Amino acid sequence: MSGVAYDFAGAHVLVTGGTSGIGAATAAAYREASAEVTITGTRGAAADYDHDLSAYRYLQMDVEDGASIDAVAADLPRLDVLVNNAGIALPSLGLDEYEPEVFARAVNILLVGAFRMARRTVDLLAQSELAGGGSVIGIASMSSFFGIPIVPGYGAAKTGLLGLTRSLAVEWGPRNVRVNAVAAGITRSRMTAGTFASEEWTAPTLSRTPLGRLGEPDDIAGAILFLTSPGAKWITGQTLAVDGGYTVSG
Amino acid sequence: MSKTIVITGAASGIGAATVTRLKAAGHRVIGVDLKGADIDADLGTAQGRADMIAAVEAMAPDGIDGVLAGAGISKGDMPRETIAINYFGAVATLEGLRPLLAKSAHPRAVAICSTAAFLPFDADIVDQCLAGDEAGAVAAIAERPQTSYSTSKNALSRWVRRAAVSPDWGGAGILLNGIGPGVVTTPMTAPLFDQPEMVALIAQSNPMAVEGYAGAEEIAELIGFLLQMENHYLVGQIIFIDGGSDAILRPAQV
Repeated sequence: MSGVAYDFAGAHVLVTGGTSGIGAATAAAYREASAEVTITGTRGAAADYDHDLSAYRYLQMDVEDGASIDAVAADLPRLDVLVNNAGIALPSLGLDEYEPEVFARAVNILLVGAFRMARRTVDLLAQSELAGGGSVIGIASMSSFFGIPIVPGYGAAKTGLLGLTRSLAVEWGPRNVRVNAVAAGITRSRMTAGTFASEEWTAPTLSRTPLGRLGEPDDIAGAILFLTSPGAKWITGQTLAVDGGYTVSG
Repeated sequence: MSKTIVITGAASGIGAATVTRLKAAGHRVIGVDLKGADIDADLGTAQGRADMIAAVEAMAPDGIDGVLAGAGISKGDMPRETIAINYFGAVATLEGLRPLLAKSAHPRAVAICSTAAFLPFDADIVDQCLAGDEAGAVAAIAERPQTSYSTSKNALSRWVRRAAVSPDWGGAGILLNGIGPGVVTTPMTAPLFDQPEMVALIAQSNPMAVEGYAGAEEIAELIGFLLQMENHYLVGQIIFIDGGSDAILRPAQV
């Protein structure tokens, strides 16, 4: 994250699903800003991952399991920032979201799970001494604004996150807890960055992206750090599209 | 009868799947890649190409029956290498091994092209490639790198069409064709499919008539046919294997 330096020294941050992608970039950015960072993942231990997660406290969490979410929340002595990033797209498991049970599962993972974690940690967030108050960040998506036919459930959940963000912001504002979301445009993963698969296939998308490139996980992390920083202390209930201009083009 | 076939890009993806398929059919395969192959060579350099040709000549002095020019990269931040390997490396492979192919009774050659031929490309750099101006093409792509992959594949496709029907190839009974893969799932591309937004984006640039993307072994099936076919008639074709993208995007191109 060149060019902007944040100071989150003394802040406790939880990034769910923090082992890859946007979650990993966000965890790293908070760590670089001197925060104490806890991440969650589906595997049993940090050592089960190929890359080095020793900079973080690692907790296993199954976002589909309410008891698992509750256990993680109960294991936090303090919390200043919650980043609800955990979740998967069920078609990647070969499942069809047009099956009602699969649809419901997607909504449970991406919307209900995010709500539950926020609900279980708001008491800690309300005690945050971070300038500008404690924060909840939801990870929304281009599917929050556009219909992606392969994922009716994922898209509904990511859109529902916007409404949840508003409701929780109104409810918890008096408790000095801000609730915002970033709607991430299409971001490249570290593994595929720079390949034909992400460069050439994206030509139609890039033609309607004013800033002419796909997102990097750092782009999203930067926006998250801003929204949770004192610089955003009067911002709540908002969804910030971080997308190179995609949502306003055309 | 067991054939001797050279595969470049043998270490992974479509090349590796082709090696597996041809060996299972009982043929002798000479694999070429940056490392871990029968012949290790960097086909992005003139020295690497020359070393590879010399090594094949030593391993198969009586000739070879087939060549797959499959070595290629897809790295947006390496435009020079993209042109050097994908075009000049492929052409050097095919032209360099042609004399060995000429010793075969039924020589066959395949180049891996791409549906990237549908995408924007740099016409001037394609012309430089076709004129054999590697230094010029590589310098030019460094200044205008945005279309390096599609430019390299467009140039290679054009070269295949021109060379295949020349006296040295078709005229000599060496049947040269290309294949145009669309979206192929490999370990490299698999992570993309975890993001529905990326899946939607891919569907826009590669519309398909069928369900599901192909794995490398399905592409190897077509290559295997082109390298082992007995007819003497199929020449100078770029056969798209893309779930229908070519037919959808270029319906009037018949």
